[in-house]
Amino acid sequence: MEADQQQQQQQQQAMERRVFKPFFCYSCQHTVHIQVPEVEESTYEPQCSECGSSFVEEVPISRLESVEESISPTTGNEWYGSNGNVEVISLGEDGEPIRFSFRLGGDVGNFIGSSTEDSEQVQENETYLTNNRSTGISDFLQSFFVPRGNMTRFQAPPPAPPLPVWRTPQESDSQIGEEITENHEQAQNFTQEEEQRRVRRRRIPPFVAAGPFFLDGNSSDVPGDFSTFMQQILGIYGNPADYVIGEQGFEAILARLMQEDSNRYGNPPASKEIVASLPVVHLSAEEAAHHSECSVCKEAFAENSEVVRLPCKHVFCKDCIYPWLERHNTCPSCRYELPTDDSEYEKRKFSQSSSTHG
Amino acid sequence: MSSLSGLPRRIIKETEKLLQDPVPGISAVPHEDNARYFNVIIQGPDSSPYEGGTFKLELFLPDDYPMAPPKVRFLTKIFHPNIDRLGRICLDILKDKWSPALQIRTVLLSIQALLSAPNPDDPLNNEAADLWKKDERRAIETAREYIRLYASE
Repeated sequence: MEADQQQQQQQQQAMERRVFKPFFCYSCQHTVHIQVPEVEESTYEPQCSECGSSFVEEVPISRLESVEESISPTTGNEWYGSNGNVEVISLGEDGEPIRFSFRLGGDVGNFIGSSTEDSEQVQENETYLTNNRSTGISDFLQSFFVPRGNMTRFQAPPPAPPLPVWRTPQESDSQIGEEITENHEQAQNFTQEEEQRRVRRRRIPPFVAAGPFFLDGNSSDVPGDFSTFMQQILGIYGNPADYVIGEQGFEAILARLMQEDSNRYGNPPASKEIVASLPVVHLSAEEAAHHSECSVCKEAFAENSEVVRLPCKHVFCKDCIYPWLERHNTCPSCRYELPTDDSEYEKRKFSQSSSTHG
Repeated sequence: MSSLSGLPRRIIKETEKLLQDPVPGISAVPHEDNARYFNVIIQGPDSSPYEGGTFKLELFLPDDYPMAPPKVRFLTKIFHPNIDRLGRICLDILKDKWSPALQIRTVLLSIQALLSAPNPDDPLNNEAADLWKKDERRAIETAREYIRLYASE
């Protein structure tokens, strides 16, 4: 009896134990860490820790940590590729993986760490997209949201909890960013099962915040060519084929595309020229005692500490103040504003200050 | 405490200080699996509409903290003109007025102050803000009712 109880208790504890897992929130458009029960419960619906939306999808840790690990059918969408081949594996809500792959146009080189294990299947299902580079890239980006290649379903072991789903082939003609209500109307022709599935499926938002290179839907409007894309996203100039970009690089692109830009809020960056001209000084013992610590890293100043002095006389470690001024033009301690390179902002500031004085 | 390795010194220092010398009425404890995630409890300030309430919040330090502000959210339901249904907080220092000289402690103090001074003129929760402006007495009653339902221990 007692042993039974103990076992029950242990089970209960295991059920209650919570762990952090990375999720991609489709509302916030970036990755969040959410506390979920360690033991998977089919009824548990994870919610975004930032916006509360339940339209979140677990980011497979196996993908983050190891290239070699084979695909786990329970972890959600996976991206693979090498030599321009990209394969996406996604889960249907019945837990069956949907696999599709496509080929990037142009000489993309090794885009992602290769996964040779599946390369045969990749070749079987692969769809060759056009050689026109810009179309290739827009298709590449779109493909994260609208699978366009051939899809094959294959048998998978245990059913996984419901996850956001990729669109099925019937939908792939419709444009990205379309309202779910339209999908609803189209859905009437399908079987009841399909209908139910559609009702549960939610809108996958267009990638509007991603940057100027991306367009929702109409791929013929794609501005810029592949090298612009590489420059803007990867900071790569010259021939992109000269660069080997591993899986980490690919993860970085995704992260960068998906992270909300924290510079979006607040003041513009300080003028580069002004920042370069800020005096770098060594503190005397007296000054070090007066300023006591760097208000950014909270480390105490010592005699002879090398610091940057702002016009408001506040001093900071170089490593602390430069990254901040690259983001915003304010003094961390008193919000004194340095000039910016943003002429619109300067104009606004000037008119505001003259109107308050007038 | 393997999770502490790779954590910036500033975060370690802040955490130590928060645990050793907590702010009155506020507790912030890092999660054992993730040193950037804090479980926060704020007591409703005395002689405020939230007096007697115990509010749970979560606080997350993003990778670029302190260059970017912490992300904070109420987990306990609260009727407040500047806090929405999802617990998101309308507070300038969490957005455009963030400064890297601010820290977890100052952020939580500001949130505590927001409980003492609801500002219906800068609303995030329109229902609460409207009621606050139209009938403050009833708004405060509603806030108390929420505490009775959700924030009592």
